[in-house]
Amino acid sequence: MARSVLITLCECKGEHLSASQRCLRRMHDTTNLAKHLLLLFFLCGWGQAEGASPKEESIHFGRDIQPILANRCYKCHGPDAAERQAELRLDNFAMESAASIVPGDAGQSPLYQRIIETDPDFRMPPATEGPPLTKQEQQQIARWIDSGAARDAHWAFVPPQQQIPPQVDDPSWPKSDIDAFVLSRLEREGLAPAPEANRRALIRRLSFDLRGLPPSIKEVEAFVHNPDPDAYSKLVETMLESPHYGERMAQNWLDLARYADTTGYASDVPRPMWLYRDWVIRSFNDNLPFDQFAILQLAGDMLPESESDDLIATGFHRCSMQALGNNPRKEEFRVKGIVDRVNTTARVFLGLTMGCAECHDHKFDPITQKEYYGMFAIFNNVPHYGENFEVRGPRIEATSPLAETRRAQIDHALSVLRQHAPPVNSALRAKRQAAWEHDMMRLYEKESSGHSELVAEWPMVDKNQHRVLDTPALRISGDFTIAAKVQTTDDVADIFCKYDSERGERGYVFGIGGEGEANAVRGHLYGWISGERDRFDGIQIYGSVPVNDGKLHEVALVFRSGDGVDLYVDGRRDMHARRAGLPPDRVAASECDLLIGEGYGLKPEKNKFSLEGTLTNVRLYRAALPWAARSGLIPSQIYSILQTPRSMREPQQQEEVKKFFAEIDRDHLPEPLRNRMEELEQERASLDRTYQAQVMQEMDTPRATHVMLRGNYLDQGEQVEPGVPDCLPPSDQPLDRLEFARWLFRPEHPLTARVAVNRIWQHYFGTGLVETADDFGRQGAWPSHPALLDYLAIAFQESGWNLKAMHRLIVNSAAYRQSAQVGEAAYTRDPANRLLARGPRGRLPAEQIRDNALAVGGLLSPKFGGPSVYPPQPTGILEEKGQLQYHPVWITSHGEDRYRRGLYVYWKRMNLYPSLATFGATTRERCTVKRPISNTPLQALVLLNDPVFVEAARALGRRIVEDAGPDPHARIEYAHLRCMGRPPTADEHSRYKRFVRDQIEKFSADPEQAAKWIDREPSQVGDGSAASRAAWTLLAATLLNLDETISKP
Amino acid sequence: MTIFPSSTELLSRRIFLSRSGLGLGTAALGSLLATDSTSYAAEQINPQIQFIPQAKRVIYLFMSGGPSHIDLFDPKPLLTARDGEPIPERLIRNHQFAMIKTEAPLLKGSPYNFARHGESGHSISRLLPHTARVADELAVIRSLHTDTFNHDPAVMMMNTGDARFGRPAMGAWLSYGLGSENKDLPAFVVLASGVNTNQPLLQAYWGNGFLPSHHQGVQFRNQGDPVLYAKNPPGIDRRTRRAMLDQIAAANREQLAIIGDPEIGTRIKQYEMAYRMQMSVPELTDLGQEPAHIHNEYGTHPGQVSFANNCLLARRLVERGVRFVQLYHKGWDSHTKLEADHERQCQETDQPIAALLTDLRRRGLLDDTLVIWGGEFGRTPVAQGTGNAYGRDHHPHGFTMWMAGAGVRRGTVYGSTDAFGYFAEDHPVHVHDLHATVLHLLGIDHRRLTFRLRGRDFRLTDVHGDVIRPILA
Repeated sequence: MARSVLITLCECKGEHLSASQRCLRRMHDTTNLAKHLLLLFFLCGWGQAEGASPKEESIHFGRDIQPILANRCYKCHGPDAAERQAELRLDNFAMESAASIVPGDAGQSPLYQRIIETDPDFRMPPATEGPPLTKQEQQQIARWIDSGAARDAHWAFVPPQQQIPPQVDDPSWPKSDIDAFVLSRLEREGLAPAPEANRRALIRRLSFDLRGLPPSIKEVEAFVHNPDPDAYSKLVETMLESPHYGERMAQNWLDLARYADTTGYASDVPRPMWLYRDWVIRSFNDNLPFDQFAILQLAGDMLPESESDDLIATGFHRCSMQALGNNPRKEEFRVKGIVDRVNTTARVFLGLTMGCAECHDHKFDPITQKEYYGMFAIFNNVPHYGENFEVRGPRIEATSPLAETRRAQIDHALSVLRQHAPPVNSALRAKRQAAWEHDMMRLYEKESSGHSELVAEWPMVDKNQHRVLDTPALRISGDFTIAAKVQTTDDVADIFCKYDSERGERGYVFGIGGEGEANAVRGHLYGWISGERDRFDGIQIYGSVPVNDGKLHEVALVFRSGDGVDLYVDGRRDMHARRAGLPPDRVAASECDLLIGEGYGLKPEKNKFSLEGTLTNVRLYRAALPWAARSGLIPSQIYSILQTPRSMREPQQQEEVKKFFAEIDRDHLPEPLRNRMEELEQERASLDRTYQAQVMQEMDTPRATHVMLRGNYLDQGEQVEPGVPDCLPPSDQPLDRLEFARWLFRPEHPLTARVAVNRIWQHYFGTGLVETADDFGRQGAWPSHPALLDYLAIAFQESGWNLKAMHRLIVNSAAYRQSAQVGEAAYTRDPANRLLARGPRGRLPAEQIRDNALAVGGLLSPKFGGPSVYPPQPTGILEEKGQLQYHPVWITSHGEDRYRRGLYVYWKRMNLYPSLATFGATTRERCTVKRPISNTPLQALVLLNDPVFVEAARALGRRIVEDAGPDPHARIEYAHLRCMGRPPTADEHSRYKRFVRDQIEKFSADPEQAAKWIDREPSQVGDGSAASRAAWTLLAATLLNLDETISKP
Repeated sequence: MTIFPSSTELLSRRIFLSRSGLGLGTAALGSLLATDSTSYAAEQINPQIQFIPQAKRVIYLFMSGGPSHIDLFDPKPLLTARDGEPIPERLIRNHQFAMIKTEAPLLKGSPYNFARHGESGHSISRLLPHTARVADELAVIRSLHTDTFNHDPAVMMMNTGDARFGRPAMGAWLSYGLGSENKDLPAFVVLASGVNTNQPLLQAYWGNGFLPSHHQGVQFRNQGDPVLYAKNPPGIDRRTRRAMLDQIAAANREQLAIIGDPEIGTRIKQYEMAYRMQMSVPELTDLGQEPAHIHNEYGTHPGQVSFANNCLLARRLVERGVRFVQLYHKGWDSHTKLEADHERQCQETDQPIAALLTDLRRRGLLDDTLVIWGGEFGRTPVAQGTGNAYGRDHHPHGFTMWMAGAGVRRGTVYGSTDAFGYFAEDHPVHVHDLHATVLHLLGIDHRRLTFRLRGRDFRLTDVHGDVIRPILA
């Protein structure tokens, strides 16, 4: 069955290549076939069809017969004219093909005679096409012919019909119309639904399905003890309103949209796409109606007065892979991109696998190659610029679609944090203010002897480049600070360079864009500080904020030897700067000259990375001076007040300075709080920034589209006009991308609504009502509940394509609320739960496995949207495959970005983040409608040993010890609740108690192991608390590995 | 009747095979990653193992980048004689080169002497003195040809039978069709070595395509853990890990009893396998256990990243019943400085390959292990660039591969290219034919190892492939 893997790919290569070859080989067969059809028609006796049992259901052509014919016969006797043999056409029994069947009499029907033929030379399908039809298939065909051989149109091409919920024997069970359909089917099968799941299971199921996160203990207990009979439906509403709803829904959609952060193919270079990802999240949260959601993504650029968000939406079709490099066949890869757009559109919105028709008429569905290129023509008019590594489509610069939401979230978070700030001691603050003013004055006193730590200052008034001959004073070995004012649009430019790698004189360098190295971000600050001259051994830092926007910025680098390095922009510490390597204890004493405003190139006399624009006030201090880097925070009026000596200031001026200082003074705050506030402030400031987005754009003059013979872009056939396949309703407008998008939502369209609701169903129940969620064609599965599918499709349309309404409808049903605890026999009877006699249970998707562990450990960052992140992964993952030349190395994110949801992990197509890949996340090279589900030992290894999961276990261990009190009983209960949302049973209690006790004993005997396990220096844990903490951490790790923890209940 | 044949005919591969009474017993199918899970319901496999398998496992030495057939295995005196002359126009009419842009590229003879070796008299260039020693083991196919001349499509073609991304690699097909003989190790293992060039190795080369994900190749890494996350975290020893696993198993068993979902049972087994793997992988990859004479023979140095180490590791893997071991050695893409590049590549690979064949033979493993050598294509008989820095461009129209071991006729040469080494001329062998032959040697009719997807039965050989019978023993 096709249930498992619906990864997209082009299906049919080879069919066409072999066509001529096979034609020759089969010529003989074909002639014989025609002859024998006739011969058999006259001569043959009755077939051996056994009469169908009268009790059995009647035969349905579309459901029972067509799949057999489609699978076994259409290849040669189907819609593909080029492959058709003996002019026999069994997809529509046109013309003489009708003679292959004698309605009411299988025995007289040549078709039947041929399939039951025992002589392999005459039997159909021929041996080259596989084994004969099974007995059951033969009998089905016999029954169908005997009962009159009625044919109906393929169900999915007929518009959904209004459905009245059926009568059921047990009217007490249904909670919604959905349930009537489900129960009626169960009753027909002689089955009963499972009882409703308990509330702990329900809230957990809902929370994972709607938010992709576990419920908190508080939420669980509140729900469990809520006496309100409507508690469940109210909970549904709360979850639908959560911003995490959008994140969870986006996760599915991004699989369809093949969203990734790299271009794919061998080059696989970064391509900023995340604004589109954030648009998707916002649209789900705003409950944008599905028709608008789709139209914007397919053709947002063509809407009248389209705004930047509408353009960002069109990123949907800019996610296609793009080959880059010195490949001579740029056009070929452009064509591949269009093919991907056509196939993805068909799969996502029409539920059709059109890929076959790229090269030849579709073998199974009534889609001709010409019709395929009609669709192709619709998507063929997007400009394609550049050569080699610069090949690209249209782009814009825009702010994030989530900026507003995020700003509100940050403001809220900051106000909460401020409430947690300890009270200010005003005397201490006054002291700090005095010290600060003193420092500031010294900083700005140009005429004075300057700050004692100041090595030198270069005003750089009328030039941007300056060479300073090397002196011992410039060979700084310990802490230092470089500060400057810069205004430029350069992507790559050095500011302060005592670093010449070509000639083995490495020391320190500070600038923009990392001399163009793959790891660096163009337009962002960077710094390299090496402890060795002849090779790099030190720390690299890469900023997260662009400084090349042509505005004036105060920038600084602060290095603390053996400790760390920070970047500052306009007085703000870059909380998201990424670092690689370790800060050296001693900076190498590079003997090259100091270059200001440029850096060293290959030849000593030819400097590179020259800064254009203005560079002034360049200073070097031999100390780590954050305040030197922070002067940019001071507004001009404060600055001018500070110029006035204290004694000469007006009281009101004095007050102004005091007020300003109170705003920036953080020294009284505990460091974590301070860091968190700075993080949030930096993020808030970044929300106004624009980022690159890949968008669609329609060329003024459309390209001419030709049929590409056998899918070869060089081999052009007849010219075709934009169009949709004839089997679907016609468009009354001339088709372009926008009209096509609107056509999808015509009320009589048979596919769009069905395909969409089916995927929603799949989200909850694991399998859609149509098992082949991306194939509603003749090869696809027949729906398990055809009437329910139509009911939902019509309800969806009538709701105004309201997505949340559909989610609400489904999760409020009794079908969804059933328990999954039904015993092995039930699972064996219906492994995929197609009859819906139990609740939907299953392992969480890859991203949720990660999110859940981080959430349970209390590490998960609530940050919403933004650039993709680089959580820790084993070193060398990219390097060992040689993926370095065009690729940034994986520089692990800093701060909260280490703990973001899986959704935000940098999606590198050719080397997907290992733990996500292990749990079945797809590389998104192409549209994925359903992920394969696997269950492997490598997954066990991730949960047991991946440092990310170990860190989560340690965090949970710490929480158990710190938050649950000293009582082991309470600790076990707390841990269990956090992981599984339910208290442990008495058995579990005693088992875990014993386990922890044994482990404490073991770790006590080996305190060094205990310290290692909880990541402490042995000296830090001399008091014996290590053993206890280690044992509880081990329990935490154990619980995080349980099937129950990683499953939706 | 039912409308869900898929749900009711849950014919797992295991059941099918035990019913069909075929040669391979259930033990052979107890692949590490292949305990029955519901995802297995997806696998409508019908492998129809029709032949007595000659080979039980495969070592595939993948020379990534494309080695030059005319400098290694396919001597072309005419090319040497006409060195420096333009290539006849008829050969390159309508042909595109990957990199060469000149209208009339010049023929370039091989600078390396060829001599005949062994009883079979195989012609082998002086670049491969060690391979020459084991010449009689080889069945050399000189008439390979493929469809595409860029690296990644050509590697995909060679591995998956299709130049496009998305199909399962041969190793994944074999894992799917045959499983593993070792329940502590994956059925399909990948090892990588060689210089970093601008042709990265992509996971897709050993991907599962549309097959269930546990059939994908598992790369044993050269640094850090050989298998990702196989090492316990700091502070956790094997005893502690066991205690933890016992707790996990107890809790999961209770869940299984309450819920009944067989997936939970699978998970219990997978944790046990993970535990065994944690034990077996370090032992397996510890080359220090090998005696000195073996290290001398292979040229191995434990701890180093080298093709030699990977060859020795490959032997240890097949010894333990891993079905398909694929070694990638990067660095063959000699567009310039062909001589320097190829001399380095041969120096790195020649001795270990000969040692591997000798060692396998000595241990009796070559009787049921198939060894394959080759790149994604060959290199042009014309020079790219001039002077000493000349190289050769990608060449898909005719090139050499060899096979050795189980079921292969030793000492054979099959097929030939034309006098210039340009086109496969005599008995052309397409990649599909090669695949058909490999499957045949493993006892599988390539037309019957299928996976149904969107109404089509997909197979490694698409709709092509003829077994190359003359090279079978």
